[in-house]
Amino acid sequence: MKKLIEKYNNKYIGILEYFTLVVFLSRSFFNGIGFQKILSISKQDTWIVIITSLVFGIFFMGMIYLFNKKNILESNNKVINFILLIFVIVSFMIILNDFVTFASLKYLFETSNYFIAFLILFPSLYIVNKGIETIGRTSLFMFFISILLFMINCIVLFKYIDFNNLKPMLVLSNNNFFSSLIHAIIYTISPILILNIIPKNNCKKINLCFIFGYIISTLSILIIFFYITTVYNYKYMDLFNYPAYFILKKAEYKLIANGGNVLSLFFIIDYFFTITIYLYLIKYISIKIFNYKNNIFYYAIIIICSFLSIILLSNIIIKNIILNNILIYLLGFFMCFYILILYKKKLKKIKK
Amino acid sequence: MKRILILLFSLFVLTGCSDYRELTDMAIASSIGLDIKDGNYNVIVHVLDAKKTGEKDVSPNIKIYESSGKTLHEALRKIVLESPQKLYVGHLNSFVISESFAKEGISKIFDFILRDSEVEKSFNLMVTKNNINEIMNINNSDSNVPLQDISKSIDLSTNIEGSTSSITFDRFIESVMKIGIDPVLPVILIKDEDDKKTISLDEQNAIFKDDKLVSYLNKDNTFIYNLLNNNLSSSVFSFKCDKNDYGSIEILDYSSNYYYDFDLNKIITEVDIVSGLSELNCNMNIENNKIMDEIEKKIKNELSENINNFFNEIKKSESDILGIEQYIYRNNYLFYEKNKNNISELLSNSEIDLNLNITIEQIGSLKKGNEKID
Repeated sequence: MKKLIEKYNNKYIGILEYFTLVVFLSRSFFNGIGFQKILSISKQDTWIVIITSLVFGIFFMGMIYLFNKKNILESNNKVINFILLIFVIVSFMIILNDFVTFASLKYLFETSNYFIAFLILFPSLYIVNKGIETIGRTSLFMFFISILLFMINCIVLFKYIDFNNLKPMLVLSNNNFFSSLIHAIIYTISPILILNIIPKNNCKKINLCFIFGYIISTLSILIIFFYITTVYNYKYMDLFNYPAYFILKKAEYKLIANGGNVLSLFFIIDYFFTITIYLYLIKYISIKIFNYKNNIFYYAIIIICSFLSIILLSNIIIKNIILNNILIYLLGFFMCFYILILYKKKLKKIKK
Repeated sequence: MKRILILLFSLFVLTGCSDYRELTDMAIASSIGLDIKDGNYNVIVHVLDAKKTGEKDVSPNIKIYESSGKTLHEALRKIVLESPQKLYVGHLNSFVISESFAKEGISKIFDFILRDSEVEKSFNLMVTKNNINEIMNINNSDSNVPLQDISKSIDLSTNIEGSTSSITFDRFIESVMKIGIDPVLPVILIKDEDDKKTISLDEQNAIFKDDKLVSYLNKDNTFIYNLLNNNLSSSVFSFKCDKNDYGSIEILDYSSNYYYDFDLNKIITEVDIVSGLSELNCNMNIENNKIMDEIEKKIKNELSENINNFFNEIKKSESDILGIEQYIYRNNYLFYEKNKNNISELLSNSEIDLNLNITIEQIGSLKKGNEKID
């Protein structure tokens, strides 16, 4: 009994739960900017780019495994923690705004953006307050629902697949190929690196979980891209800001019209857990830096960031600059920063 | 206490009723007719109106609204000047475009329909040669929602009759945007019989070059177009069995395929049809194998002639509705890149190589066919 209480003391996360969070977070930048950006660069050859990114990604993960066997990114250095906090806050703001835009464009046409943000933040904050173990368990439960929805989506849309839409193959220029490859690697890997901060139960298998989660997530992205480029021609899909959702609009049954709206819950689950984990990380890192005991400071950060996210990113010009020009560098910078921390740690160990 | 407060708070804000719209506050558009008048978009909208016609029966009817504006959105929004409800286009079923607007190019309407996520994208698109006001104002007792019924007829006709080619808005735009293929749209017209006007399908179909209407495809050519694109399911083909009489076969199963020979500049077409003899109005004893062969040969000759006529017609129209250019682009990208500026010239000089196989597998309940009295 004591062991069980220790196991579920809301401070640690199990490997399966961790795996599900890796899958959710790895897809987090895809529904919005990821699908659009990569599709517009690599066109009908997107599937080749994603497969190549998977190979490079596994290689990168292997390198991380060699440097960081326990899969922990913990530092008591306030500057490092502050940089991590800034990264998490900016990512949170971008994802929150992406969710608000998605929901207001596709479901809640006339609802205020602030209200939509509140709709997702309220349950997320509730789970965050319950602790990381609750986040993990909820994530595991929702992961199965997500898989079920994903499978239904694939089955329903299967009849619309036209393989001819993938032709001509391998006509991408080298520049475009490498550009979209870099985008794919950065979008999938950088959000999950931050998960290394989370306290875990079983550090031995956690790296395998990490790599396996990345593979599953990239495979799901590959399947979504496959549907995007085969159900319609890429030129048509390139017109839309949420091409994956648009494909789901094709999912109709004789009795149930607009089945796509229900099936797109798949994306909402992704958004929900990405936002939840970012909220948790903001709390975790900010406590480390500022050492506060009252949560009011934390709520103040969340409220200010949420307002800023909606106000700042509602301006189309600012939004375009951030999503098209800044985001990829920010995520890339974080990847380099992460490698630098690991390298320094390794150097210290060798010196010792 | 804290939990009760959260629960109460949730009850008020998470019920999902924020900014709701009652069904009675919405004017649900079923069809839109569009024309250009003096540089303005002129729209006529059919709005569903559920009225009790009997004690138990609730059948939908339509109300017709007309307005115009500098943009399509402005024109649709202006309908509120006449209607007490806000227009809802999430269940749009059909969109009719005037011939003059189609000749100018219909890509102007793409933006609004694609940009507005509330607008349904898989409605049927069609062209009319008649005046758009006239065709949209036909509302007779035979059909409560006339254009919705025409949409059903278009789908049915494409599959089992073959003289129409149905296409939804999303697939139409996809065709326009694809490299090397042009779309075909069905045409509707007003039928005036015994002073009773009804909307009917035209036997001609509109051929587009990109987004502009360039010419029309006749009934036989539309049948061939649907045959080559594998759109048919159980169509009937009539053939001349003697000087004055005809017979019919019902297509039971078929496959068609066409490709381009890059070395010989040839369009190779392969069609295999399995059919059943459904009607024979000539005196022919089909128990005799030689006569059966003769019938198959007659069908083959007639169908071959129609297929050749179809290719000649599309060569003349300069529109690539079969997507031969697309075939080249997809299957030999280097060849396409080398010849993309003179590809239409190349295709207009191409030869047609036809491999047509027809077999009659069913003859129905009659075993002969020579029972007619001359």
